[in-house]
Parts: sequence; structure tokens; C-alpha cells
Amino acid sequence: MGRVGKQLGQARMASKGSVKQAEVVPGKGLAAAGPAVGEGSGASSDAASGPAEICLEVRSNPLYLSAARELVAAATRRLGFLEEASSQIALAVDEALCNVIRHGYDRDPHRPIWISLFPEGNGWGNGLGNRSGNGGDGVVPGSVETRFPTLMRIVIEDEAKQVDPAEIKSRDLEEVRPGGLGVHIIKSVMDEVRYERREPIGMRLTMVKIRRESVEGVENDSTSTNKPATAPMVGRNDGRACGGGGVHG
Amino acid sequence: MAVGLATVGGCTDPSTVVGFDEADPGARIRAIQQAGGQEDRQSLGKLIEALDSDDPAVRFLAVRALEKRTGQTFGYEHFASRSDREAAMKSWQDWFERTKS
Amino acid sequence: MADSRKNPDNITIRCETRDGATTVAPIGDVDLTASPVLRTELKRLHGLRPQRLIIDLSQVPYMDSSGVATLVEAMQMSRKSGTKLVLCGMQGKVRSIFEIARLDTVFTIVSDTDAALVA
Repeated sequence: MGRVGKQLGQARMASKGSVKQAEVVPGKGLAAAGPAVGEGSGASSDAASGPAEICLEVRSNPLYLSAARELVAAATRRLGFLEEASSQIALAVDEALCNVIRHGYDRDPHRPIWISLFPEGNGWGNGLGNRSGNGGDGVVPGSVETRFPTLMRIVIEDEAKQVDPAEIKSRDLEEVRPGGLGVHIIKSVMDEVRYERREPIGMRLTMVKIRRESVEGVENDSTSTNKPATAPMVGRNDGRACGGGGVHG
Repeated sequence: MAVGLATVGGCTDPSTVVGFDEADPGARIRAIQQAGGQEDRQSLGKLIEALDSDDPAVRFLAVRALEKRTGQTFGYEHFASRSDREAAMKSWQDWFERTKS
Repeated sequence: MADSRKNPDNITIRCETRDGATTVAPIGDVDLTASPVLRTELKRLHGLRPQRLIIDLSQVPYMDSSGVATLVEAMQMSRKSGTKLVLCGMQGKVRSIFEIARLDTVFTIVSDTDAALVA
């Protein structure tokens, strides 16, 4: 990830020390979560899955779009998504960020955007924090039996002006004109897309992509030219939130 | 949550719920996705049971399948805590009972 | 006549004019940072009224909707000015976004610059 590290520039990995996680209001779930006090505090967390596995805070400068794309693509590839699916996820994230930059922040390049990745299923995201040794489908760090998640949930949050989620729609493609394709692209490549207002400020976009191989019951074999990495993952079982201290390449 | 939701009346076709109780996670997920396109009450009951799964992916797919079949979610969020999900799951159970006739 | 225009927004654009056809070849990702640069260049080239404008995408590994919008705009300018616009060398990810946007049948798209000269 060295290249991503260089390109991140002013972007920084959210860490517990410098960024407070969004609070989950008991009994109301993520939809009602608001930021903790202080700037740059919008990263997602939820009661069942815990903190996001990957959490990136980036300024709304288009120069950092490629860094966000590459991070998301690399992470999803590593978690078992094939090249095409990883590319689609990266495209959806890119389009979402573009919409925030252009429409939410009116191209102000200094505002925060949070991108949180929650792999779920097959022992991932079961809310147990340390997933090792919990039996069943649990992920055992360093084990060759590590399984890939069933799906990836991606949450993008901002502090931009709020809009009615019902107004965020794909446009009619019959008319050939520049612009207005972002929402259509996101809804075309992701399995679920949901926009909602974020309290007390900004918007939240939740996107889900199902890993087809999980559903089809056929994991990648050695003949696949686009197989994801299969080496055992080094587990992180200290229950920390976003990795502090920058990007590890 | 109840161990299982009773099916009501008539003959049931066991083929509609094949896979829900499989050990293989892929088989369970396929069963859930298939149930999204079915119309019988037995698979509907299984989907509602799946809302209580430990696997968030199973919960997500189950609520999507239920929404596809019924047009509603009762506010169920697959990533919410179990206590938060309980209210919505109770709504689903109550709805299932109410609609058995 | 060949020309390379570099800029700090991470995209290089090569232009070449030959036999009445102008070929413009962006090099790099065409996203929200780079698409304004490409847009400016395409506007400039349209102003020169070429008979044929070829956009060679063989060195564009990625394009988002801002890049697509730029090309749609170029197509609209071409129709007004009577310039023949041809896209060539589309890579997989770029073709995918054109298909999602249902623009793959709206543009003239061929495999390479040789085919674009006669399309």
C-alpha cells in the first residue's frame, strides 16, 4: 500500500486517538447515530459490527479520489472479491465521493468525508470484536481456514447540506446529456444503496455488495486468473478501531 | 426469539425450506435468496427466523428477501444490536401471526 | 504534429494531427480531477474544426462519470460542428461504465486508431 500511502497526502486514517467514533444511541441503531463532540468525528460504528474494519477520513479534494479508490479496491480484493467486483465497488465509492464533493460541499476541498468498510458474514462482523476462537464460522487469525466475508457494507458520511433522501434518484438515461450519472452508476453496481440524513449534520450513504462466490458456493480455484489473495490473513484481535498511525504499505 | 414459527394449515412443501439449516453458509444464503422469490408461508417463517442469525450477512439477506416479498421491513436493521433488533423481530413475528388466515 | 500537455492534475494528454484527423490520447485515470483538463483540451481542439476527432482511450485504465460527461459533451460539440468523433482503445473498466450508462451504442467506438481513421 506504499503507493496509496503517498497519494493520501493530507488524508489520514481515523484513529481512536484523533477521531472520536460516532456514538450509537442505544435502542436506535446506526441511523440515529451522531458524531461525538469535536470536528472530524463522523466515522461509522454500530453496535452489532463494532467499529469499521477500515475507516478513512479524507478531505473533499478530488486529488484524493484515486487514493480512496485504490484503498477500497485493494481491501475488497484482499477480502475475496474478484477484480470486476472490486472495481465496481471502487467505482461506486468514487461516484459517491464525487457527489459529496460537487453537490454536498459545492467543491469546497477542505471538508471531511468518512469512508467506513464493514465486511460481514462468514465470521466477520458478528459483533464479537475478537473473532478468534469463537467456534462455528469464526475467523481464526493466521489460520489457513480464514474465510472471506459474504458481503461488504460501505458507509460514506459527510457534514454537507442535508437533502431529502427520496430526492436522490437515478435520472432517465434515454436523454443523452452530460452529468447526472453518479446515482445510476452506484445503484447499478451495488446490491443495496440507501441514503439517509445523518444527525445532527450531513448525509450518510450505505452501500452493500454481496460477494458472489459466497452465495454460489464456489470459491476461487487455482485456475482463476483473477483470484483474490488466499494467504492466511494476520488477524487483528485487539478490538481497536481504525488503525492509528497511518497507512501500512 | 421463538425456535421456529409454526406453519399454518394445509400441506407444506419441504423443498421450499431446503438449505436454511445447512451447515454450509453458502447453502444457507442460497436458501434465503431463493426464498425471496417464493410465496409459501413456510419459507416466510424461515426468513423471519433468519433475522435472529448470528451472521450479519444472513440477517441482511433475510430482511431484503422479506422486503421483496412483503414490501416492508418493520424498521429492522441488520447491523443493529440484538436488543435493537428484537423490537423489529417481534413486529415480524406478530405480523406473521396476524396474517396466518 | 504531436504535442503533450502535462499538468499537475495527474493526467497527460497527447495530441496529434494527421491527414485532417486529430487524435487526442489522455494518459491516466479520467476522474473528477482530470476530466476538467480533458474537457478544456477537447474544447480547444473543437475550436480548430478538425474533420475527424479521435479520442484514444487505450491508456486510460479508469474513468468515472465525470469523464463520461466530458466525452458526452465532446460528442454534442462534434454534432454541432460537423466533426466526426470516434472513440477507440477502450479498456475493460471504461467500457463497463459506458455500458452502465447505456452510451456504448451512442458513440462510435472502435478497437484502435487505425480503425478510427476509417470509421
